[in-house]
Amino acid sequence: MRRRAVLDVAMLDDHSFGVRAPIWWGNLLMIFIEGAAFALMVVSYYYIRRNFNTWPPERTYLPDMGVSTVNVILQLVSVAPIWYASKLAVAHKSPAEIGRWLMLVVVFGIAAIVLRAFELRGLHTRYDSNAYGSITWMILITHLAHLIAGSIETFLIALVMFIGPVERKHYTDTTVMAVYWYFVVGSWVALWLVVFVSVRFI
Amino acid sequence: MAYSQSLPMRDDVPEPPPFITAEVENDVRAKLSATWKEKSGFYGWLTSTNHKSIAKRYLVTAIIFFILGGLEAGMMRAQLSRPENRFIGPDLYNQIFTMHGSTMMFLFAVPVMEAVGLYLVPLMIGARNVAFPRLNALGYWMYLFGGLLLYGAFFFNTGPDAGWFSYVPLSGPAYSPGKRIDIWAQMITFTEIAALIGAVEIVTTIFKLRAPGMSLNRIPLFVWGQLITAFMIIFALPAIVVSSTMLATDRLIDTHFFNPAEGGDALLWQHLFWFFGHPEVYIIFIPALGMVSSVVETFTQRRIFGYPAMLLSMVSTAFLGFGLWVHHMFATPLPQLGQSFFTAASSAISIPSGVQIFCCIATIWSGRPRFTASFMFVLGFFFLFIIGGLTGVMIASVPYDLQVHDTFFIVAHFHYVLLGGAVFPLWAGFYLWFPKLTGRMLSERLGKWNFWLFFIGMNVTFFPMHILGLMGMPRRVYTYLPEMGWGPLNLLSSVGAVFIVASVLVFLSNVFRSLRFGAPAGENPWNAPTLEWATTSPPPAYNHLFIPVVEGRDPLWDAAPGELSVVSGLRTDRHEGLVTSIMDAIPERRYEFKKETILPLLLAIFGGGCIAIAIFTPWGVTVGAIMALIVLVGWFWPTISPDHDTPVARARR
Repeated sequence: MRRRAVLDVAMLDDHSFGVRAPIWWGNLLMIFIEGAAFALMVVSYYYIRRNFNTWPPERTYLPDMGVSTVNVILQLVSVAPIWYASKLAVAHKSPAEIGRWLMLVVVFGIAAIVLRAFELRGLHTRYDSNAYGSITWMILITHLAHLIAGSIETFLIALVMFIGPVERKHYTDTTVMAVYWYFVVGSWVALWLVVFVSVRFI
Repeated sequence: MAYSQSLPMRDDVPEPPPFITAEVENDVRAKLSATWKEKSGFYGWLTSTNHKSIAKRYLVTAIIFFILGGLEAGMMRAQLSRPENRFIGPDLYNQIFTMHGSTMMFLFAVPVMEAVGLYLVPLMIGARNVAFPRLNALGYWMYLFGGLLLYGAFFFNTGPDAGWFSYVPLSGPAYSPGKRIDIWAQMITFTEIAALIGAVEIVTTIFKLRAPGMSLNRIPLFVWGQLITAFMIIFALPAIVVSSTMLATDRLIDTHFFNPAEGGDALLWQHLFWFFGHPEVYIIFIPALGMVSSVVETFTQRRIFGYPAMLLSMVSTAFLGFGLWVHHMFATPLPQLGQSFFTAASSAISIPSGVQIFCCIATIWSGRPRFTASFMFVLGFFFLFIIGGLTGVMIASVPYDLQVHDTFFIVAHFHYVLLGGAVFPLWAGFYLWFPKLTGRMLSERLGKWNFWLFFIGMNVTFFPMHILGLMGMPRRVYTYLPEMGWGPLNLLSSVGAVFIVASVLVFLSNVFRSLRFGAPAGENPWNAPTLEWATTSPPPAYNHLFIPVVEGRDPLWDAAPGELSVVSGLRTDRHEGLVTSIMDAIPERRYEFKKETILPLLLAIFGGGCIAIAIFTPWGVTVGAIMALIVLVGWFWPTISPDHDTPVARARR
C-alpha cells in the first residue's frame, strides 16, 4: 500500500472544550443514562399512585414544603459559582481562583446533603412503610447519591486547582463538572416538583 | 463572479503530494511500535487498555458463556426427550432454564455484539483506540465478575430459578427465600454497568474519533448499527437498573415496590423489565444487521444498495423497538386501546426489517455473489429471520397471543429470531473478520459443515416447538405425561440439538486448526471496502500506520488501487490520535489516549466486591463505595509526564 500524506495536523492544539472534547460527550451520555433512570422512577411514582385511594396514603402527612423549598433554592443558587468557575476555566484564568469558586460549590453541596436528611424526615414515611414510602425514598436517596458524588468530584477538582500540577485538561474537566452539576440541580427541580409539589394536587 | 474566480483554473490544480517513502514509513512504524508496545507477562495482561486486547477477551469470554448456555440447553433437551424422564429434577431444571436464558441474553448476546464493535469500530473509522481506554477495561472486568458470580453461585446450588425475566411475586421475598434471586439481581448490576460503559465508549468513539473526511453519510453501516445500538443501550438499560434495584431492596431491606399488600404492583416489574427487555432484542439484532451489510457488500463486490434506506430502517427499528414492550404482557389486564396500540406497533416493526432484507436482496441480485461460508450464514439469516419475523407478526395479535402465551410456540419464535437474527450474522461476521483478528484464514470446507449442521439442527430443534406450542405444551415444565402425545416431537427436537452440538464442535475445531495451520490472510483477503482492511492482519497495537483520510463511502474501493491518502503530523512518542467534528469529521484537535494501568481492575474488584457483599448486607454498598472512591482518586490523580502537554501553572498557595 502506497500512502500520500494529504493532511498535516501537527499545528492542531491538543486541548479543547465542549462538543470538541471527547470527555464532554462521555459526561453527556452519562447524564442521559442517569436522566433516563430518574424519568423511570417518576413513572413508577405515578404508576404506584394508582394503587392508593388518597395520595399520600391514609394516615401519612403531606411531605414538608419548608425545608425542601430551601434546598431547591440553595441548589439553584449553587449553579452560579460553578457557572462562574467554568467561565474562568474557559478563559484559562488562575487555577487558585477557579479552585476558590469550586470550593464554594462544595459548601453548597454539603449544605444540600445535610438538608436532605431533614427532607427525608419531612417525608413522614419510611421506605419500608408502604410503596409510597419506598418510591419517595428511592428518589430522594438516588438523588442524594448524585449530590454526594458531585460534591466529591468538585472537591477533587478544586484540590487539583490548589495543589497542582494543573494542566489545561483540568480546565476542560471544570467545564464538564459544571455541566454535570447543572444536571444534578436540574434533575432535582423536576424531582422536587414530583415528590413535594405534585403530591398536593393528585 | 467571485465564486467562480475563486475556483482554481484547470492548470492550477496542484500536483498530488508525493508518496511517503519507505524509509519514513519504517521510521514511523518503529516509533509507533515502541510507543504502543503493550507490557508483557501476566501483569501486562491485567493492565492492558488496548481496545483490541479487551475486545478479544470479551469475545472469548462471551463464546465460553455461549458454550455454557448451550450445555444447559442440551441438558434441557435431554430431560425433555421423553415423557416422565428422571434425568433432571424440577428444582435443578428451574435453575437450568433460568441460567440458560440469563447467560444467553446478559452474558453472551449483548457482550458479544459489543465485543465485535469494540474491536472493529476504531479500526473501521481509523482511530487508534477507543475514546476512554481505561473505562473500557473496567467494563470488561465488571462483565467477567458478573459472569463468575452467577456461575460460582450456580455450582453451589444457588443459581437463580425464576426465569430470565424474574417475574414478581415469584421472585419476591415471599416466594423465593434464600439468595438465588439476589444473585440474579446483582449479576444484572454487573452486566448493565459493563454494557453501559461499552455503549458510552462506542458513541464517543464514533462521534469524535473518525478519520478526517468520514462524514456521517460515509460511515459504514456496521458502524451505524453499533452507534444506534449504543444509544438504545443508553436509554433501555436504565429501566433494568431501576427495576433490579427495586427487586433487590424489596428482598433485602423490605421495601414494597412489588408488594400488593402495601400498595406495590407486580405489573410495575413487568413494565419496567420489558421496557428494557424488548429494546434488548433489537440491541442484539441491529449490530447483526450491520454485520450482514458488511458481509453482503464484501461477498457481492458491490456497493450496498439503498444505503440511506438501510440506515433509516435501522433508526426506525430502534425507535419502534421502544414502543412495543407491552406485547410481552398481553396476558395481563390491560386497557383494550393499549393492546391495540401495541399490536399495531409490533406489526409495524416488520416494515423496516422488510426494507433491510429487500435492500440486501437487491445488492445480491445486482452483484456477483461468492458463496463463501460467511455468505451462506447470511443467506441462512434471511431464511430463519423471515420465519421468526412471520411468527412475530402472528403473536403480535392479542387473541392469538393469548392462545400461545407461555407455550413452546413462543420458545420457537424467539429462538428463530435470536439464533436466526443474531447468531447466524455473528457467525457470518466471524468468518469474514477472523482473518483480520488472527492473520489466518478459516477453513471454508469446515465452515460449510458448520453452516449446514447448524442450519439443519436449528430447524429440526425449533420447528417442532411451534407445533408443540399449538398442542398446548407450556414452556418451563421439567417433564410431561405420555398421554399428552408430546413425546415424538420432543424427541425430534432433542435429536436436532445433537446437530447443533456437532456444528459448534466443527466450528471450534475450525478455529483451533486455523489458528495454527490456516493460510496466511494478508491485509485484505476478501477485497473488502472498509478501513479495517487497510492495515496488517492482525493489526498492530496502534491500528493504522497513518490515520487515513476518507474520500468516499467505501474508502478502499474509492481510492486508486493500492493507494491511500493519510494524515501526517501526529506525535509518535505518545498514544496520540485525532479528534474530528461530529458531522463532517473535520480535524479539531490532537488527543492523548490514556495508557495501560491496573486501576480498572482494582476498581472492578472493589466496586464488584461491594455489589457482591450487598447481596447479604446493605453495608456492602457503603464500604464498597468508600474503597471505590479511593481507587477513583488514584485514577484522576494529576501527574506530570513528558508525554503530556505543558502544565499551565502551579497554583500559588
